[in-house]
Amino acid sequence: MSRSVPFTHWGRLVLLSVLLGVGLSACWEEPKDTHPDQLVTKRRALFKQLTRAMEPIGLVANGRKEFKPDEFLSLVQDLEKLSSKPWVYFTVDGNYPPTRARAEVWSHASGFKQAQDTYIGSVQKLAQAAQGGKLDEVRAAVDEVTANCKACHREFRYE
Amino acid sequence: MRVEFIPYVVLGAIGMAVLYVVGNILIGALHNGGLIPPPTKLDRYECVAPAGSFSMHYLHGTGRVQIKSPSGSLDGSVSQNQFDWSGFANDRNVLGFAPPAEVVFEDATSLRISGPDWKNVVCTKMVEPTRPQQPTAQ
Repeated sequence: MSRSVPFTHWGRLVLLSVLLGVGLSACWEEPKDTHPDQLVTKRRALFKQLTRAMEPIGLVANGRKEFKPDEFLSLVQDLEKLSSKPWVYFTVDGNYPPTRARAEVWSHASGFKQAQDTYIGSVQKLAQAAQGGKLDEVRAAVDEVTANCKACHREFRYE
Repeated sequence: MRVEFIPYVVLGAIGMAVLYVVGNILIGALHNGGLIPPPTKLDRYECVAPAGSFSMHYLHGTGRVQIKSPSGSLDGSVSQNQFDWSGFANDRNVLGFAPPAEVVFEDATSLRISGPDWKNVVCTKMVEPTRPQQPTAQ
């Protein structure tokens, strides 16, 4: 005859953990982008594209992918086209959840513009280096682009 | 079922799920020679629209799509012939025109697409020359 016992401590613990996990995951759900122009969504999509465009360039620069000048130039030209695109979506009404941009983007707009110009300038320099076809110059230019990305993130984005 | 068995059932189910996922990852890694699956290569279509030429990278049956114009490019997804450009549906900043909204018709060699800025633009599939794979420098 089977003996019916109340829920064991272990059973309660498992169920509690599952419920807690489900509850917390619901709490951590990111707010949706409800702006009519979906500024944050657009910015994110373009920054993701920038990251993706930068990946093969970085692989060449750190020697993990073969340097083929024509192919590399095409990659850099795609990056150059993209590099000027995201900034127009940082409009005055663009600071709202779920953005990870710091308030300084808007409160220190001239500094943010300067950071954009520096970044775009470094990408243009990379394009010139890519046209030259010399790997050493390309590497130095890629390092500069990467450094400008990081500097801008440090100052204007929550990590 | 006796109540004291519930934790064993729950933990067993979780364990099976974990084994299934890990097993699939390992089999996939062995099959692909690495943890990252090789991306499916999309077909390139060249399109001539009133606003200028652009290219679409699309493969029937896959969800990914990319559009490239002289001004820029966008990544998106496609489902049931409808494009989703992640908020860029009516945006003209990136491409210089609003991206297409739907695939109107397609066959083995062409694609007909429509969007807010033009209707029934025909895109022709380009045949890429096949190249032998080069080993990646390590």
